[in-house]
Amino acid sequence: MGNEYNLQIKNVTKRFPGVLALDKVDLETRRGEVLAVIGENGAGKSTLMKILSGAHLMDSGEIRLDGKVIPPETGPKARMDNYGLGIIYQELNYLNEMTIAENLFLGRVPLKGILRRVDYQAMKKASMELMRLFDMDYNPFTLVKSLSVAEKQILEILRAVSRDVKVLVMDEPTSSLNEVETQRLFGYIESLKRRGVTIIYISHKLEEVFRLADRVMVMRDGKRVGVLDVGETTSGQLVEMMVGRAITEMYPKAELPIGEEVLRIEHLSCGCARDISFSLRKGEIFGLYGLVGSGCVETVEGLLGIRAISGGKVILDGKETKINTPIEAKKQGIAYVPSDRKAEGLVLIHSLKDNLTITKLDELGRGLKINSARQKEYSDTWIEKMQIRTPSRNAIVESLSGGNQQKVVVAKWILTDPKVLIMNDPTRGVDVGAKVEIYKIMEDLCRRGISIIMVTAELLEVIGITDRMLIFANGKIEGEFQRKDYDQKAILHMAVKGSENA
Amino acid sequence: MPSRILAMNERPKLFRSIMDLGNTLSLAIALFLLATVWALMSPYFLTLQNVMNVLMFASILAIRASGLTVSMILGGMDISQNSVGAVTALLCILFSTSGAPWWQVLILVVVLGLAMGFINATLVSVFKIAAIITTLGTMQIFRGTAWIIKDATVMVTDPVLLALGRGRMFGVVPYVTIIALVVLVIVWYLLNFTSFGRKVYMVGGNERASYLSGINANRVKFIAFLISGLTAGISGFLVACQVGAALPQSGAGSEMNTISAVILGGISLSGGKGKMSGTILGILILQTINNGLTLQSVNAYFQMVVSGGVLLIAVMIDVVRSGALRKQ
Repeated sequence: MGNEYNLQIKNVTKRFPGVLALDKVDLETRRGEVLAVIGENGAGKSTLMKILSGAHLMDSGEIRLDGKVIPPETGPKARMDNYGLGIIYQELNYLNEMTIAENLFLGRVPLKGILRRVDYQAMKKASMELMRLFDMDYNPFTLVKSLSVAEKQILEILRAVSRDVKVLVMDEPTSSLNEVETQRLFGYIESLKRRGVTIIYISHKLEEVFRLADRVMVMRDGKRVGVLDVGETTSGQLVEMMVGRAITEMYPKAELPIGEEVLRIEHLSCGCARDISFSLRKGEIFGLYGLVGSGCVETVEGLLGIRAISGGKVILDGKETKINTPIEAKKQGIAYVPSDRKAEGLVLIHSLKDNLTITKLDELGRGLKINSARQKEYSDTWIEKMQIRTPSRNAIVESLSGGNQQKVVVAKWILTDPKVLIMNDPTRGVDVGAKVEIYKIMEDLCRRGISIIMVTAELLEVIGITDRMLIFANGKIEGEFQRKDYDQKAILHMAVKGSENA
Repeated sequence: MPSRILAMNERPKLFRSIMDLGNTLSLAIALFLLATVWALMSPYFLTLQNVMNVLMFASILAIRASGLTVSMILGGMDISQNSVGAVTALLCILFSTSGAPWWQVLILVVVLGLAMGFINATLVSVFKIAAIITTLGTMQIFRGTAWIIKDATVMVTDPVLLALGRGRMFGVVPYVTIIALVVLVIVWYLLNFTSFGRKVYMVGGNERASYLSGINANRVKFIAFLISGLTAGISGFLVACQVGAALPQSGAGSEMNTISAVILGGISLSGGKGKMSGTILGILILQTINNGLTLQSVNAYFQMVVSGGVLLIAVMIDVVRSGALRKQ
């Protein structure tokens, strides 16, 4: 491992409307090392990587690879072809209906003869050679759709290697892998390292950083907080650098009295979730924690009538109720903050006022004319109460920042005066400051007697904010914890255990 | 994130509301300029007789376009409107010639429009077939039905109905224009001042988010297609009253005229956006173009070329202005 840097990013700044996404960020890597980049959602990791790969244009700064400056406007393909700079995104992109070989040689298929026919033999040979590097033994003409997610990820690595990659960025590659697959992926990363490839590994899982990385760079609020040798740091130190304050401050958890049962679910089955039973009490924040595909999301979607349930009972205030649609859920006093704010939470092209009062249209529209005075009053009240930062109630919600958008989604449901508020990953894509504000709002709602079910895959969050939690794995409840017994290792172990058996 | 969205976001509110107004305003200016040019080229253009003629044709188109506006804000196009109109006109005029009094005929107009709208509405909101496919199917079914009902022209004989189609209040304003105004005002009011209207915009903007917010998106769509059918029936019937005869082929081949006008009026094909004022201006512009060309004795084929060209130029101006062509 040489000591000189091969990749140097200097003073990169990027501004989005209302947000300084990156504030003079530096990053350096050496040949054959794994540099982990960690930070909370909204810390700027992904933006930095998108600038590095050419998907975003930086406002100012410089990127040098092996001493050569990469012009900022160089596109992703040219960066790969001319500089050996590749990126593997969280959402993988290949053509499912085509073969492994075709995917590997996408855009540069070998041709032969005067008719420029596709040279399948050459493709087959080259693919097999590539795969041999990683001890893989597939028929190159297997369709990609028949591979597992992990195998597809490896395919992506092969694609990069086949183009003589020098620096490879991997954006949370294990988010949809189970433990065994993660192990395999790490093996491949090791062999890439031995070939002298530099890996920039984006993650928010500290455990992976210690398993894999040589150095770690911490980002927060669009700034580089520090770079450390992995051998010389502890996870406690990294967490503190990530959140920038002690964890008790990050999660403003007040001790509040918890009332009697509001909602009970008995033997609910929905999608991959099987036989789920739990009860929710007045004024508590109840966490459903599990990895992707664990069944938490399916459970709440079944409860809300978004998905059809295949069995089980829902008991609200002591009475059995049937909820077949979100409309019925709303009538019963069950509200839902979905995880994908843009696709499911808001009508982006319309105003804050329209979005905020969308849940009250029936009530506001009684009589011949919609009560626009009330609409304005509601909007102004909640902009004030939630401290939504917006130029006016008529601002198009698309123009608001993620945190403010999320506040609109929460506010529109509080207007309906719900008994139960279900929040699916409520702080996704929200910057740290707004996160704390959302947690405070949640506390405030509990104080007003609303019960919250929070679905999340973020361990720190579920530990920080909930009173009680269920751990899901493989569609089943693996265990339950009370706040006083929270134990990060034990919870994670339970959540992962299920997926190992998959 | 595409740069276009960022660019829009960075604009202050005042600028944006001027842009919003700008669309209506620029259409109005276009109409004014057009009228000026025609007036200079033909002394006949600005006569009361001719202006009322333009209004008469525009009115009937505007009635069905108002229903189309609602369905298009929802993101669904109704291309069966002209067929619905033909069936309604044929059955109602047959009913009239069989001796039914005019007021019973008018009730039948409403019933038939709603009935065919009901079929579209059911297919779209219950069976979840895309609106354009649904109405492509029903367009042909209704058209065929019209030919099956009567393979010939049926003359309008009831003097009340003829007066409705051709007559003018105080000898000046065509009755159809008054009917159109009433319909337009009702739909405009529905869209802007009722919860149904707000729901149309919200569902059109993001159906999934609206549904998850407890809006019955299916019901909104259902009602929208009822309205679309009703306005189609009324306008088809009024065409017959105006022409003095119901024909099974009435409106065949000109399905896209209303759609062009609505798009010219600034509606977004992806839904969620659009205004009645735009639709009205869109129709007036297209009608004025055709009227002026007719006065210049330009033949009908050339008029089609011009109408299509105007639509494309208008949309092109819009694309360029929105900055969608700018690179990131």
